[in-house]
Amino acid sequence: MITFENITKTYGGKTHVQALKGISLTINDGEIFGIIGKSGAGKSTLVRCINMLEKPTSGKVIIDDKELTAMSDSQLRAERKNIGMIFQHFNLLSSRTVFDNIAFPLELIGASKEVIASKVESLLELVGLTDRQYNYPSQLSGGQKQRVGIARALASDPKILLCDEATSALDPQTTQSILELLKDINKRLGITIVIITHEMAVIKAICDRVAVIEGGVIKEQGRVIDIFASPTSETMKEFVKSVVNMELPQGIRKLGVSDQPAPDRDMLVRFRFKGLVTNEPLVVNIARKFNLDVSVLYGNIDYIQDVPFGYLIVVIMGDMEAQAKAFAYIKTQPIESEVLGYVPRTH
Amino acid sequence: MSPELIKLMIQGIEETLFMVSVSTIIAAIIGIPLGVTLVITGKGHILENRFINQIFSTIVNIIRSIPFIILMVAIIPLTRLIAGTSIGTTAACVPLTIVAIPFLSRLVETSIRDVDFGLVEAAEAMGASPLQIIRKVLLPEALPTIINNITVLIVNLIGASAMAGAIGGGGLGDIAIRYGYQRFQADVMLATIIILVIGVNLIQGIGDFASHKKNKK
Repeated sequence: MITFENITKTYGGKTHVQALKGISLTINDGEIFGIIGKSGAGKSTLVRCINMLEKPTSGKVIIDDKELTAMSDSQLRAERKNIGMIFQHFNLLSSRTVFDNIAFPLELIGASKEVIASKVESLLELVGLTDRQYNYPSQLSGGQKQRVGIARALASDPKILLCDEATSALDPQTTQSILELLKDINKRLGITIVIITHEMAVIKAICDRVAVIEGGVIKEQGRVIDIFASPTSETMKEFVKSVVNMELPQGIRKLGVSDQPAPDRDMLVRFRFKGLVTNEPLVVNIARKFNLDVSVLYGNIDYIQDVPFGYLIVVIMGDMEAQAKAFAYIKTQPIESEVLGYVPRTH
Repeated sequence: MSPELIKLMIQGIEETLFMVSVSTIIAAIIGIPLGVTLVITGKGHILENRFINQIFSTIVNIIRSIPFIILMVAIIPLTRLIAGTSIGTTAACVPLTIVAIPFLSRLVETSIRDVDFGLVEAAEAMGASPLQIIRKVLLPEALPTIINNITVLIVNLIGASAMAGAIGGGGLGDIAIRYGYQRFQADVMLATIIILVIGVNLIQGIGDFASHKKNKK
């Protein structure tokens, strides 16, 4: 477990920038924890406080009852072997082959040649680069470089893996494959993964929990699925919007949405899914039971951590009273719903 | 050219090679660690130490600001102390080495500084000690440029060693001045120039090749 207790970080000098303003956070063992923020929010500083690449100005960093903020340099070096890290620009040694890059942390602890060979071989297999072991980093693609970075970070059998914008320099397909690899590592080896990113898609793809940071302060944190369903802070709302659009599409708004029902208007309803809430065919039931027409205008259904999640905007067409009855029925169903308004009937 | 002159030329080549090799080797032994020190004691680096950084930097600047021909004469007492004499090829090695050390250290400083700090950070994150970072990250990563730095140093030292002839240092430069200039023997002058041009090109070629061979970027 990683615990931050009221961490602050101030950069000295004339400008005196306070990068972190009192951060308290707990990251559980074995989870994938995401920290999202815009550039300059302080997320990179925060993740560097975990392995003390940045020393906090005040506050405590505690990993499994050990207070890193109170350690000497040599104690810290020993502790860092339990914390792997991967970087946006990979930071591989250009003068070493793939094999030797992965062997690097093992060399640092003075491992024997045999131990290094067997360990590196199994890591090469894990990241799928066995056939590239004699290549130099300059001969690899971005995704392959990051795989080397991951293998290198895992060489000392860490309990924690820190990812600092690890996919930000990669294209979407490669990002996907790296994220899958990270998830696989988390499942197979039970390693706690902390991911720093500015992309909500990364959070959505693999994180269990997420915290959003802005101006050196944690604005909001919680389970990813909950945050996606109902973000409370403005910052998180913006990030959620970047991957899940819950606004009424422009085209519908142009029709002229009124908030009053009228005989010549149809009801716009938004359903919000979070998890498998019903086995009943809701839309079909409305149509059958109340003799109404239901048309889907806009939908966005996604899976977050294998849980369906999303929005569906439908227009319920027909008799005004039947519309009201239908909505009363919908309210009895275990699904969130709201009337967005009433649009003029077009046919 | 007479056989004596040819013999003289060969001796000159030997003397130049001797002066350049001795000063290059000593400069490498002292100048490379000094260059590394200038970087790692700098602001925000692994062994930040303003005091040490300032001292070394100032010494390097002082020596670098004195023209070689003046330095050579100015340090004659020191040369006598180290080499036992102030004239001759061995004596010329002292001022040559003294200029070579700060020259190389500044070049190496730039090469080491060019190593992406992300690599240092990554090594630190893996629990590497400062010494491990120097030996396993900074020096191997900067090696191709350090080879280039040494090539530049050798070429510069060949030039400087010609000036050492002025205090009786011997070598090709000495021969060119004494025979080519003072005795108007144009053939000696021409021969010296040809030897120097070939020598410098050869060294530059070897340096470029070695640097390229080590560069995996």
